[in-house]
Amino acid sequence: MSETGFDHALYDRFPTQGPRPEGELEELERIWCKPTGWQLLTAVNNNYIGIYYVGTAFLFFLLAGVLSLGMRVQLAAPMQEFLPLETYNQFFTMHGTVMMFLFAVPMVEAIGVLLLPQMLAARDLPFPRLSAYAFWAYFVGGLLFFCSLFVGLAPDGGWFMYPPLTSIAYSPGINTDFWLLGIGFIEISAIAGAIEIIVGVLRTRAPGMTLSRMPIFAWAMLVFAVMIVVAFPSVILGTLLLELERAFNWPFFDPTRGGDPLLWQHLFWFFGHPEVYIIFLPAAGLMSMMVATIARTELVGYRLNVLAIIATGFISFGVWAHHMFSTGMPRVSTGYFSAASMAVSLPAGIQVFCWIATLASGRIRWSVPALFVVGGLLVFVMGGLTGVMVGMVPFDWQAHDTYFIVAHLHYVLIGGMVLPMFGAFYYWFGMTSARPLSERLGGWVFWLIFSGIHITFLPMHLTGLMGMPRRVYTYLPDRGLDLLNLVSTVGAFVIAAGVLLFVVDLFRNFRFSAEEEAGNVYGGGTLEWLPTGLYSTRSIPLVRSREPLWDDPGLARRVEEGRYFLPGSATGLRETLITSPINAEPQYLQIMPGPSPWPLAAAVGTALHFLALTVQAYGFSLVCGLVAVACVLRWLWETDRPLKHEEADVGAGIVLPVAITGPSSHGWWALNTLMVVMGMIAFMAVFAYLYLYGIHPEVWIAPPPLWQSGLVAGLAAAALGLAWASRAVLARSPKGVFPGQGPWLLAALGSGALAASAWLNWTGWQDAGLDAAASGQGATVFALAAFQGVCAAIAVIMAHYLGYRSGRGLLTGPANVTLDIVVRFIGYVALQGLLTALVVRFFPGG
Amino acid sequence: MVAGTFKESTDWQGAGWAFSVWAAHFSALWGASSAFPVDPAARWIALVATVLALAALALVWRRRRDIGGGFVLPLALGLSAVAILFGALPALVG
Repeated sequence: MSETGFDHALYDRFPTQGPRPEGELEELERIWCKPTGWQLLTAVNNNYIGIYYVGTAFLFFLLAGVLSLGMRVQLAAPMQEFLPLETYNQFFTMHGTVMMFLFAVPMVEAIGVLLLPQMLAARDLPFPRLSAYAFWAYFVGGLLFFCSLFVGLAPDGGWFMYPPLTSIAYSPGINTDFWLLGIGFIEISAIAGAIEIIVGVLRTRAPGMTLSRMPIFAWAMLVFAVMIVVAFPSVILGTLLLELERAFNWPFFDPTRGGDPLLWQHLFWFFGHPEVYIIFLPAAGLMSMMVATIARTELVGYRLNVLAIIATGFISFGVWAHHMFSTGMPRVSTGYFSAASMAVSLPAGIQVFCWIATLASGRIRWSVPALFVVGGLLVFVMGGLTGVMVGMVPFDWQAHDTYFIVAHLHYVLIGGMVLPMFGAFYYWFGMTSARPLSERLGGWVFWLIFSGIHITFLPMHLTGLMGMPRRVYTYLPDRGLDLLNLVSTVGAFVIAAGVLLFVVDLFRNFRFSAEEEAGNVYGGGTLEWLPTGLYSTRSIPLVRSREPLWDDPGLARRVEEGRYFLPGSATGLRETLITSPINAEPQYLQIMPGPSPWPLAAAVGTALHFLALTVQAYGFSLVCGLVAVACVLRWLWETDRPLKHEEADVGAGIVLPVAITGPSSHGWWALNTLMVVMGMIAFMAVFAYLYLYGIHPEVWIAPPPLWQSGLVAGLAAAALGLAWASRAVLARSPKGVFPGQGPWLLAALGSGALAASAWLNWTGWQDAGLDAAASGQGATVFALAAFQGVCAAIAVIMAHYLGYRSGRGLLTGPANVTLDIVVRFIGYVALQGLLTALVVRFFPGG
Repeated sequence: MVAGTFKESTDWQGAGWAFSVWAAHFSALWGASSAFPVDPAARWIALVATVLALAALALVWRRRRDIGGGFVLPLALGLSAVAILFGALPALVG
């Protein structure tokens, strides 16, 4: 049965026969032309953004690695004076922060941006300018953040920034602010990338690529992106709350005024532990792809593996507090987290067994990717075993904050992500470079890194069990730690030698090319190995299996001849096929935006806005923020224009609509995902409110009077109604006809009602005598109110943007993408305001 | 290799429901233990939540078993049930 009404019999028309029209390919090449010179800064398609992204993430890996060498030199012998105490604190904080926030997550996201369109045989991911914005925001923000080290202003409170150490009382400088605003901002970039990946995987797959035919890397990236959307809002909220406490003295984490420092730990680790799986799952996806090629057979237990990925995604959200076993949580609570921590090893184990079974059932061709895959497997399993050990509460009490934990986490992260990443570099290098990397040097790279890992981190298990604490810049002699630390330092330099050799190989052989690439060196069977240009594949194939290139050797030739979907450009513009989420049935043709300087400008504006906040240059910050908003609106202005074509032939006489509105459109999916992000921020803020009530109910005061609450709720409900009316009025307008100014005026009134509701909510609490600086209740209530106020302000800007478009006659009936997005956003913010305002007014103090 | 049909044959949605039940169960248990750290009420809530969660898994199985799709749904339900029972143990012995 069809998912969308698409007739599957139409697939029989492929591959098409007969000659293709002259100039078809040339037109495709012209539309997707290669950028040169300054155009490289305005490029938005995934080949370029993906390479920029991977390169930048690898640069941060090198920089963080250099920091670790500095730390290891300091610890090579007792009482060393290579790094002063303050600098050492900055080094370990920056090492952890950069590795986790600027290398690991961006690297897997970057590999996704680079590989996914080709793997799914899409022309590009659905929001190329959003990808470009996400990259430039990360690039500019990341470099500015890292440069804080050179002026002695780098954060120094550890990569988890626990208060009260990071409160204004104990960290009065702006070092901590750099972390809070810098990382909060970079996480926004990660969320932008995640939205792109979710919509890309679910809506741009080649026809016929049902969920069970998706490359397993695409599954892993889907779960990865969903996890980002759920987990990252928590740390964004946490950083905002801590910054509010530092800047305005709102006592979220101050126990003397009804706050609690453990609230930070909950917010941080609700993000922080899923983060480990966020890093691991895409790398596991890469492993699964490489394992099949290395063993020259299908992956054993494909469905089992996918199920394990999904299960890991879920259960990883039940383990965050195992980082808090030693904080004195209720005993039963620690039991729950201990059980979940052990349960999560079940799906991870399933994946490992699938890989081993695949290797055992195939004929292994030993190559550099094979070495990295097997090495990664071994190192990851070793890290996983110590993970089960620290999942047991009594053992964790002993090992907590010692070098045993340092050893454990490095085994897991290096085995689970870094080694697969190097394997992936070798495996997929031929997709973007005219020359492959050297197999001979690659062997040296592997053995140096692999042996270096064990030389460095194996002794740390012992130093940890012998009582050496983490994050100390030196230790006393004659405690049995000297030799073990020296060995670890030697090992770190062995790893560095391996990485350096890789960099040499990279410089020798990397020749970027989208047309004359080295190609399928290792014989992979998935679609990314089809011949490609900057437009991805010449035509979009009909997918009949998981490894189409193995099962149908003639596919590549027919794709290149244009025998499948979209053999040329149907509209003369950049475009891709949007398919249904489960069966990947063709639904419509999406017109894609081309190169633009505005994503870069918006990213620079956003980065400077946050940087200026850090140094408390509020005026400059406001200007930069306005510039960023203006740039975003400018880039959006060119989209959603009246189209010349309402329908187009996408190949073999199959006619599809061009761009649609509503639940089937990719924009609808993206906005829904964004609403989940906003909803999670609001949800975690409500959690913070309830958590503090549970800890310090004695500081709670009575809410504003009932009539005032009714007014706040009534205005939010009115906004919801006005948003609905706006769309209804537009829907009455005939196709392509300008409906007058009614729809946008109704939307503007709705946004005004939202703003009024937010204002009354704020002033109502003030009149009730609540002070944001006086208690945990005040801090959380006003934080929620401020969040609602910001959402309402965005709704007002969006409504005015809609009005401007309406004034230019760009808003036509019966449905319009921009109006649909604006009114749904207003409706969502109204619901959010209604719920959060009522919760804090009636529960639990009421 | 999967070939021939262009219709998804595996009930991934059902698997998602199975794990969602686990997530809800975990949240209920942790919420109760945080709200009533020294009160036996937390243990009773855990027991009731466990029974409800297992019933919910049974409901998922009843509603979706006809969709077919091989072992994925039964395995997801099984994994979720094991995790739910294992997760509830601390309420009994902790």
